[in-house]
Amino acid sequence: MIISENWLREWVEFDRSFDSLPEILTAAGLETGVIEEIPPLSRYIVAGHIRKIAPHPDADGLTLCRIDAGDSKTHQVVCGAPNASEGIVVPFARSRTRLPSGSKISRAVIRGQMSAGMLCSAAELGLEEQSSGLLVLDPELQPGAPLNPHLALPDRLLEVELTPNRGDCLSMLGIAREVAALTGGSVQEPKLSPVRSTGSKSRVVILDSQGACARYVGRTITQVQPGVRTPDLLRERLRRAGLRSIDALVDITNYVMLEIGQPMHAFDSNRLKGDILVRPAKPGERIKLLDGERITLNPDALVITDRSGAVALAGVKGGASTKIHERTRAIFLEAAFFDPDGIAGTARRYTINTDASHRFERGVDFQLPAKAIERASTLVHQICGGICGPRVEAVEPGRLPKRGWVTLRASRLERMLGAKISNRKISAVFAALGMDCQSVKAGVRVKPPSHRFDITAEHDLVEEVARVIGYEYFPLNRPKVVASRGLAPEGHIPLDRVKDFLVERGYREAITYSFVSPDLQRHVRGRQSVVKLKNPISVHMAEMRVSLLPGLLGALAHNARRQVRDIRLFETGHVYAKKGKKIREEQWLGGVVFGSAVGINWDQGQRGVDFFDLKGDVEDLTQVLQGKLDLIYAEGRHSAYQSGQYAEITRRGQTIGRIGRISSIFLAEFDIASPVFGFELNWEKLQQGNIPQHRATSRYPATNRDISLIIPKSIPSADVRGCIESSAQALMVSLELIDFYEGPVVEAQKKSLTYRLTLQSNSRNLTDEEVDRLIETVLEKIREEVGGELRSS
Amino acid sequence: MNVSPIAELNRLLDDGLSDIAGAPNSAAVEQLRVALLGRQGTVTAKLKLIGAQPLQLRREFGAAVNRIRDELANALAQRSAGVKEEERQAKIEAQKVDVTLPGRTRHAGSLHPVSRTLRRIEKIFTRAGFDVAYGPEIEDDFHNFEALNIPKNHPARAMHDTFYVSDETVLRTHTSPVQIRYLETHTPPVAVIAPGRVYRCDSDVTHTPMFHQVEGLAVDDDISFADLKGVLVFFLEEFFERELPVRFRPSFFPFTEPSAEVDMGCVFCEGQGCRICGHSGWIEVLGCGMVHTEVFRQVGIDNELYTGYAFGLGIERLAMLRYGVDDLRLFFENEVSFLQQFG
Repeated sequence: MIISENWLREWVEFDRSFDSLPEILTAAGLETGVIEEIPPLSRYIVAGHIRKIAPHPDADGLTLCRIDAGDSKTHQVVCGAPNASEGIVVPFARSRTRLPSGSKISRAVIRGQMSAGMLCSAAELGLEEQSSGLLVLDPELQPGAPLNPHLALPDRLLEVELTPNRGDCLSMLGIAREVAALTGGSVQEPKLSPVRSTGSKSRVVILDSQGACARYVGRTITQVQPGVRTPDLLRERLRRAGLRSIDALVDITNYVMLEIGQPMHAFDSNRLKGDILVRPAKPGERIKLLDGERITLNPDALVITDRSGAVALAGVKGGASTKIHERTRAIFLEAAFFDPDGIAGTARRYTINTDASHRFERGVDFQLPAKAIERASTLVHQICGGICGPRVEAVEPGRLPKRGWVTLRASRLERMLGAKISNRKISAVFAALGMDCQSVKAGVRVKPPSHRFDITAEHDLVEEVARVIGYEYFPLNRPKVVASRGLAPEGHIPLDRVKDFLVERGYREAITYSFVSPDLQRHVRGRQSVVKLKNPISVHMAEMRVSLLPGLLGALAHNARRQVRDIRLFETGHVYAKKGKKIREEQWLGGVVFGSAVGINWDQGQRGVDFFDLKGDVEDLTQVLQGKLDLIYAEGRHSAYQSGQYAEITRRGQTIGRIGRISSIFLAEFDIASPVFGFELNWEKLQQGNIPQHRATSRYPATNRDISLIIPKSIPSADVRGCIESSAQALMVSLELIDFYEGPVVEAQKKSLTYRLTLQSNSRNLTDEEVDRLIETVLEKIREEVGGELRSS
Repeated sequence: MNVSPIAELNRLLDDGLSDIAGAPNSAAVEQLRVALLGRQGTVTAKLKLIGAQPLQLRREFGAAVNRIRDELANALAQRSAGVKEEERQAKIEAQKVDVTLPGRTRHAGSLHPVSRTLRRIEKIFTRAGFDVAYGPEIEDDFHNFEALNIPKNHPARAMHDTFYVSDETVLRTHTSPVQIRYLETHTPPVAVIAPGRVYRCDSDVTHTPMFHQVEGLAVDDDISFADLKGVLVFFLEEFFERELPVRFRPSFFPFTEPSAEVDMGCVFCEGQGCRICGHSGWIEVLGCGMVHTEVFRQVGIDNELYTGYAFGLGIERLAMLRYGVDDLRLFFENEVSFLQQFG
């Protein structure tokens, strides 16, 4: 809501400067921006009548205008505006005048013709951002008349951002009430001389809406002059409030809405057929709206109808069939009370938001319609003439909103706000707001006025007192610390710990959108059912991710395109999938790497990152989770990864992650050719770490044995390890792979693995014979289970 | 001509001393020691000859041999220490490195500024006794709206630009539903914050369709607006590590009443007015209020027994103010050049 100072001051007397209003209003919950100044015009800019107009002899598109500016002579002005025409009144800036932009007007010879000044557009007067053509002024304006008073200049504008609960402030009257309450001023309603209803033209109004419209007031005005232009002041005020002038009749209804907050509608009465019936729409009923849009309605929308059917979408927008046009000679004015909930539903369902629906859905004073009809009638009569018929009203008093007493206990107020406030002070607040207020035993009781829809219970009154007194009035309690229960179990590893680990390992944390493109998602979704958005921001953000990879690879590609060479990124966040009707969200941790394994250096040479670099990171990461986690890496297949370099990570039989080289087909989506490796871990399954349990260490010496084995290439090393572990169990302290070889020295289809086995007993020294026997058992098992043998060398 | 045995001994001494002085390394010194004083050494041989000397010479000869042996042993020890030191020096010289060459680093990565900011927020509130809770990002209409006193046609829904999964399921538009979920499973007194991703169907220069919020909630039998003011001023001063002017101004949220928006003095212009604060000197940092009676009613908490406050703050907003980031979109572009600044 944009407030013009000139206009506001017609509605409220207050002895504070306009400059102080932003702070006063903001402190009471009406957030305002900074004041915009509209400076006065130089007094040398006056009303100029274009008496004669002729083409410029030497320039296409320019004209020579003879201007009457009220002095004895006429002035020749060269003008380029397409709408310059004989008989119109326009702003004439005499020479030696400054325009608000600062540019100076002087006598000039333009293409050989003398120009004694300039004819101005609204933009040139600082009234608009952009204009096309000259500002055409009221024809009644005398030549040479000063423009400042005529255009209500200077002025100041203040934009008030209203929260949805304060629909009552969406008018000059509403803001005036607040200003009066907050400054000790008083609302003064500009008097309009009432019209006499001398006509007999009337129209029956019938309500059949189950309370969706509990009051409907109307009036027929006949013999209005068609095509009248809107007076400058009205037009200017609408413009400053952000509304475009359409025609006098529509402008008047908008003007009244801005003044007092009652949305109105004007029908062309000659196009309305018969009685007005307000009723729910019939299923499938169609209406063409003012702007030409055709919509099909359901019974949840309310319509204004005549004999021919729906003529307006009640409280939202008028219909095309009864629209005001330049030859309209009779109108039917409407001002009604529509139920806020119903209008909100309609506006939302049909996504039509208008100034009217904006107000109705927030609640419009149900006592206002008659007053609005009167003000509008007076303005129509003044501007367009016409004969007013009787004011007709249909009302269902029982269905109008109720305003009952609401009690505010002084004790509750103190408990909520932390400060005691006297009953006298409380009463003063409500008196200033124009609300009925009575003292009762517990505190006060208040009856909210018909324009307030946000006061129904005690807490609403608490808020009124707090905001009017001002929040800074209330004390500030420093927090007192209360011991809080619910520390995360020690076995749960904080995600932050893992993030720190990855950061130390050179990974940068990324945060990517939770919605991804279906084109990317198809590489990772497998058979999962994905969650789709009904109203995505774009097709590339239409599905909730089932994997962190698409986002991470997108971020990686974005950097690669910017010539970043070595990239390690990780992200933690939810992934989403549908499980039957339910949606399952899980916290995952993922990373991608690309580029060199060691970074630029001076002595280690260069090597591209590979599977084992990444696996090492993941293994170390899981070490961070308090000791060794029992994770199993098994060769697998996944559409996002390249087979042969992909492992599924399982723990206790459950898949908890994936690691591998990203498939080239997937990478092609991102235009990446170099190898990229990635991992994904289900944090919720991984998070469960172990609480360390101390075991006494052996005091007997440990023995190392290196075992070199030749085994078939197809046997995973994990199987070999398994053989050794299971047969060496009790005495094994550690088992490390210390050499791996594939190549000419060993047979084709074979590989060589060397393990260092450390053995130790808790109770005795191990003898050589004992160790030899154990190694023999190990080898036996390896021969049997994986077809391996000791390497002879 | 027969040389006297004493003169011979003296020559042995002179030769020995000059050999020792010329020994280039410890191996040569050791060689000389063996040659002179070893079992087969020349001086040792002379020692053995003492008994064979004529009686009148024996004493003199014996004294001379012993003197020579001691002198040579001394010289050997000195020379040995000398060459060892030389050798050590040489070794040190050989092991010299260019200490200005760069070390073998593993370049550290970086934490996202949103995480960095959130950690600080969590730390401040957990130190003040708050628990940390989480909730789903795909929410049902009840938790995201209804229970928070935002019924179906409420105009406040229009402020939310909701992403829909189905008619009854949305991407949460704020972290406030965690208030409801927490109160469904905990009984007062409670003090909790709930950080996380939130979504609004809006994307332009100053809006991204996803961002992060932290919700706060405290419920007890004696909580007032004064406690709310206190905790938020405490938070802002801790977070920005300074005293700040803080302004509470009335606002509207369906799930709190009274509601407030909190402005702090602009940290860029010290309240003088600049581009970032829209020349007002104030920067809006969070929204808050006393928990609405309807919210308590929805979760079955007696409004007469308990009161509470709630607040919500935008993590990106705080990060922008803290680190001087001037474009919200940077947080989600994940450019290394941006990320690396928050190490």
